[in-house]
Amino acid sequence: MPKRGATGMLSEALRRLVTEPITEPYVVEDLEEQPHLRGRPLLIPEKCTGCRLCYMVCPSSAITMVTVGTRRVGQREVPLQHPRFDYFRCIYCGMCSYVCTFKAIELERKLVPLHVGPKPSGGEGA
Amino acid sequence: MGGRPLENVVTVEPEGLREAVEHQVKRGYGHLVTITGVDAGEKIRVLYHLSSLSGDMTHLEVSVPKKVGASLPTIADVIPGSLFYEMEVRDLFGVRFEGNPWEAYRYPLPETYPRDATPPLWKEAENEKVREIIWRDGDALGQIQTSAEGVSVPFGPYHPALKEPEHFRLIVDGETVVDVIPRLGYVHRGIEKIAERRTYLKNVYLFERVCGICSFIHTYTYVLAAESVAKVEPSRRAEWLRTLVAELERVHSHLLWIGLVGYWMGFDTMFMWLWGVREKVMDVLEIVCGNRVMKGFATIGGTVRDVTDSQLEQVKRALREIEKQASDVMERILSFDLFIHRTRGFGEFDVETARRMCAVGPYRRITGDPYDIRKVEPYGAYQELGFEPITEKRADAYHSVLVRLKETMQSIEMCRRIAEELPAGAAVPQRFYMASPQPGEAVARTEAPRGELFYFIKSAGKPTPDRVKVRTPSLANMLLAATLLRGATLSDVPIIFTMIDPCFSCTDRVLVYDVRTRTARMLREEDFIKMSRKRWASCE
Repeated sequence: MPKRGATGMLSEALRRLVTEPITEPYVVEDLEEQPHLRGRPLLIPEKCTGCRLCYMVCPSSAITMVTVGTRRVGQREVPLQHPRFDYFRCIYCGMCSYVCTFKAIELERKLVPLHVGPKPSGGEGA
Repeated sequence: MGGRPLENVVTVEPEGLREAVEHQVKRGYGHLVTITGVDAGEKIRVLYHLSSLSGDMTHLEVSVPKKVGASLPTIADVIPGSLFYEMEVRDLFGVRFEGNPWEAYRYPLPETYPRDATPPLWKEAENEKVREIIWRDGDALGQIQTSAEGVSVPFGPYHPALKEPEHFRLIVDGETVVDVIPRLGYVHRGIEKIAERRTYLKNVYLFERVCGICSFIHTYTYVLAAESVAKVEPSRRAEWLRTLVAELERVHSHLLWIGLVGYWMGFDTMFMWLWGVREKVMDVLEIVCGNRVMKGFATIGGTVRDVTDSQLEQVKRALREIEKQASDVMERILSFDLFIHRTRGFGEFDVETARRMCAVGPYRRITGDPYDIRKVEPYGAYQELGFEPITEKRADAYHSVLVRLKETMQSIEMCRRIAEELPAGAAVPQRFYMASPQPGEAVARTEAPRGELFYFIKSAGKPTPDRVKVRTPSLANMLLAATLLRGATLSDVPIIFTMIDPCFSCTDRVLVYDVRTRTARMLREEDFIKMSRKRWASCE
């Protein structure tokens, strides 16, 4: 219980001036894994075949397909497209990961602040 | 089963509608679930969904030509609870209901939407056009006109920062409320229209956003109706898991509401206690679903993820803790005299009124009417769980707290049983539903924390639904709450409204016009709490 009155307030203010902040900094590099969290979708580019299934199911249209290279279909060269996630549109439902036949989208079970997290996978940052 | 095809449809002519409704009421189908409008190309189909007290449903179908000003006779004098449903069909489909006493008021469209403009839910109405009309004339909104009596209290502002703005015009004589005119629809987001452009799977996440508190039950009910249209069967384990989440949600929703009752009475400690317990429930929801609020757990044909045995153990452990804390808090609240004085006898009504006004949920069960969809039309695991709906003898604010406390304890018990007896098998479907169902119609009803929730889906064989209709429990209860305010004093208004558990946020400030002194003054949230505390002091 803080002291009452003007002197109490003054002494409290002076004491607060010299004490350390009570809050702790949020260290992004060393985040704990949250076992139950659904998490944020991350692309594993080696596994992705560009089938667009994740793009089609995404309820909030947070996925755009960007061309990252070419792939061979029979004799022809066709552009290879990978999903790019807009984490500010994402509603974290995990649907893209659940429908992916090739397990190319994994869910990162960490509470990463969006503005300091790594840039969206596939293509340049959002 | 919660979801089922639209059966027992009786087609009637507009002239014979009133007799048909009267006949159905005599047969025992006196509970009007809602009125659905469907754009059928050349004409507008209007469906009256009537339910009996034992769970059967029958549907009356009337067709009117598709033109603005087509009319039907009102049924508001047969079933008074139909007022809002008729207004909704009128605004969204342009069907006039001759004799509706609130013909002059709008719901859910704004006053400025021209009555001869294309109604928004017609297929040819474009979202952009509707938005344009509303924006163009939006400046005229918020103009409050006093009534002929001259004593009008606009209760609840329109404020975009609030989660659920509602406006109630209270006609008062001094402190006593004489009449109430509710004005809803400030946050109407046209979700039913948006749903027509999205696939069945994407709509699951859309309907989750109808409510921020009971988000899961909306996906659940939508999924039940969609499963019936798409003819997909979920596994037994999925059914049980969905029931578990639905019951956990009931626990957190009821705790949240009881906390708010304390808050509106000026009893902040009670608010803190209950929200403390609720936090534990949210943790359990995170263990099961992966997310805390927008759970995204149910999908067409099952659930999106399964739970492991170790997770179930954690759930069981947490539930034991929650039960202990909840019963502790319950005991403390119910032994607190002031709380009882401040709630007992406020906003009383009887079972007949509740039935005529088509009230639903715990609000109806306090009158002694065991109308609980989990019991009368079992879905999920409720049949196997076998439970008795909780009812009370006297309908007032005190008993509405009591019934929800008891339901909370009952739900915790049910959750524990589910965690213990969860059937084996796969809960996640082999493939997520991405097909187009055959043409057909289905309805689904569930018992949301606030009461009966209703979904109607019409499929035209396309990847997107042709029409989805949502009827939320708060809308069904709003009319009765408004009726109960007649005769109450201004300081009791928050308590009586809170009884129905709306997402209560409309008492930001209140403007009071007094006819005798010809003055206007503003009442803010704090003033309401102060008034309530003063009442408390007089109880001591």
